[in-house]
Amino acid sequence: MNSLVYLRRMIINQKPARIDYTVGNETKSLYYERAGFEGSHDEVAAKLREILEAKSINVVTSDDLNPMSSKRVFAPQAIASMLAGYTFNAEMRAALLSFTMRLPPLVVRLYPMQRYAFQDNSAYMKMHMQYQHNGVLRMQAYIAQAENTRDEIVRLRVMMATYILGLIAPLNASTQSQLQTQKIQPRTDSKNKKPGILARIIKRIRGL
Amino acid sequence: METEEKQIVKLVITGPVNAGKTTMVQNLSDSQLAATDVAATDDVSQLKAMTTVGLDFGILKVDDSLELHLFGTPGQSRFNFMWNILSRGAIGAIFLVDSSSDESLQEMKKMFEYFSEHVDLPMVVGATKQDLPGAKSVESIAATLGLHTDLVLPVDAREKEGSKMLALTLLGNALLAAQAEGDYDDSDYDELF
Repeated sequence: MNSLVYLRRMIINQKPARIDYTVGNETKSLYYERAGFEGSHDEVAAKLREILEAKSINVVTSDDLNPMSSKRVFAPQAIASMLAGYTFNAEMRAALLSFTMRLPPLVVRLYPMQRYAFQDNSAYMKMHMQYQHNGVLRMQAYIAQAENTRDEIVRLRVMMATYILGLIAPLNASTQSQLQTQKIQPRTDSKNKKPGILARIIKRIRGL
Repeated sequence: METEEKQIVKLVITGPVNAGKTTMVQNLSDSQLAATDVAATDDVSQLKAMTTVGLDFGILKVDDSLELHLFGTPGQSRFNFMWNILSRGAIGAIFLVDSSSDESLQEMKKMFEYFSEHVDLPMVVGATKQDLPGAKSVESIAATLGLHTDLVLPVDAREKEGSKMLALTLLGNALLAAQAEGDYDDSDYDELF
């Protein structure tokens, strides 16, 4: 899921950037600057969805980029719109689950996403409560707690939104050491762990 | 020079006769190493000219140190004993059922009852031949097998994309199951933040 990583970096860096992506045989672009993504609300949401599923992505960062219009959609609004009603096929689901697997123990930051009509805000609030209760969030456990397919989709959307917008971050080492009561798995060779093996197979089958 | 030991994991593709197992093994393999199709002579000859008597076997090379071995197992419940061998080192099982055949569904039910009692593996069911007249719906097949409809997916086994989606659904479920058991793999997150 390189698209999630690129989008997060663009938004967090707050610098003018252009993301180039390929859909089918067509290459498209989306501009970003501190004020937000360039374009109308619907255009930006549609392009962001295409970026999520694009096979090829490249980000250019420069102060000399030339956006076509002055319309901007603020990042939280754009991400909320992108994810509104967003569902995915088995390939996207497997990719998102593989991505989730790589996330370390996390802190969850609170941000007023309801202001931007984030449809999954209540799930985000519950995730934050879970983090506050435990002092750490294991995204893998959060996703695995889904009661059904619909709930799993909502939780994956919350993961996507909070990751892209920088609302989740690794729990730093000093905090980890204070959490004596938390069961945090020791790091071992990821290549030999079952989730690592499954993720490699998923990546290979996606490429078939 | 020290060489890395190659890991091998198994994926089992099973189900009643004429459901599309051989085709799915072909779709997901780099190379099919064994196919034991022979001319059908019993009732199966009314369904298709050739049937698998041993098992289909294919390999998907994942990377230099990992191979996925695909086993397409005979489509009769009398071969259920093979699960003891096949499930060792397996990441999951894909069941295929011919949606247009009552016999296929009943045979599948017997196979699945054995699987549920004796095998602990993530699984998913692919309902093939949904385009044929009289094909049972996904909901009906799920109800017959006592499964949630999320675990039964319509699939065209002839299409590579369909085989991919079924395998990816299974792998996603397996990943969730591993994570639910607290088996995390977060040693490689530096580039994410």
